[in-house]
Amino acid sequence: MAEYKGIERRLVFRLLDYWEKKKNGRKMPSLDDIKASELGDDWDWCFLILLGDEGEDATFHHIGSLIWPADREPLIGKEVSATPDDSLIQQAARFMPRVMELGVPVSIGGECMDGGDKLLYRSTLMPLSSDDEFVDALFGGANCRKVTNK
Amino acid sequence: MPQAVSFEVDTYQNNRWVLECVLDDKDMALSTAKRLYDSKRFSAVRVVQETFDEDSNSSRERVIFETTVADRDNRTAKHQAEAAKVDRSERKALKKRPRQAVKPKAKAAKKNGPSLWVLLLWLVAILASGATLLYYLQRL
Repeated sequence: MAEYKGIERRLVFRLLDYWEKKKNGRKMPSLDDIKASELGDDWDWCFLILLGDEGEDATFHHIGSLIWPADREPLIGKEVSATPDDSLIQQAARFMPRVMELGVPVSIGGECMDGGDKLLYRSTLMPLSSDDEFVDALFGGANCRKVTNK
Repeated sequence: MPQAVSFEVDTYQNNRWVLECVLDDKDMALSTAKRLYDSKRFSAVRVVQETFDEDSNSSRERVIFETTVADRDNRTAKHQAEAAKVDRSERKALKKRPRQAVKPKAKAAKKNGPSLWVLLLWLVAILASGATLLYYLQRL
């Protein structure tokens, strides 16, 4: 399991700032605007989802190694609905319909179980569009820390 | 009674409120609103708390934060007033400078100078006339 160093709200702010900057006068940026090289270490906390027609058949395009460790079965190219229940990635992607409906970023926090650990997480999910009209991809990020039972 | 609370951050653009993002954390929503306002791209921002009641399937909305151009103008005016105060104090200091009597001293020296020379001339004249008077008296 990934080494959780602590939940950080600033990650969400950084990703929201990045998304806002990439809009460049549009309603939302496109998938091509999101560059791993520009996100540095944050990229490992990020994920990208491609959407099919009508926003269905959502599949993973990228998942950072700190959200979904590399030693697990790869999820790239697989449907979002195939993620394990209550895992961090599932929690971070669960408000996908709301983002597609509103067309704006949504940030949610909470608790989940991942790899046998109880986690406190904060996540954000932001819409992407190639024509600035229909949401055809999603850009997300999540940060977490272990909850210790005393 | 299960309730879901979320916070919507809106910006005011082209005479209408536009939804920017939705968060479930009040502090983060307020921070986001302030950051958007500080970017100076919007004339106003606000945070709306939305409470959704799952039992009644209804929601309540309440504006918990709103800032406008008037607020920003007031802040700008306040900063300018503070800046003006600094300028005034600097001007006072500049006004004080001539009063430090550098020039008056020079003027005083100039005033004293001629009077001293006049006195010396008078003294020389008196001594010369006294010497002349003594010389004539000795000749008599």
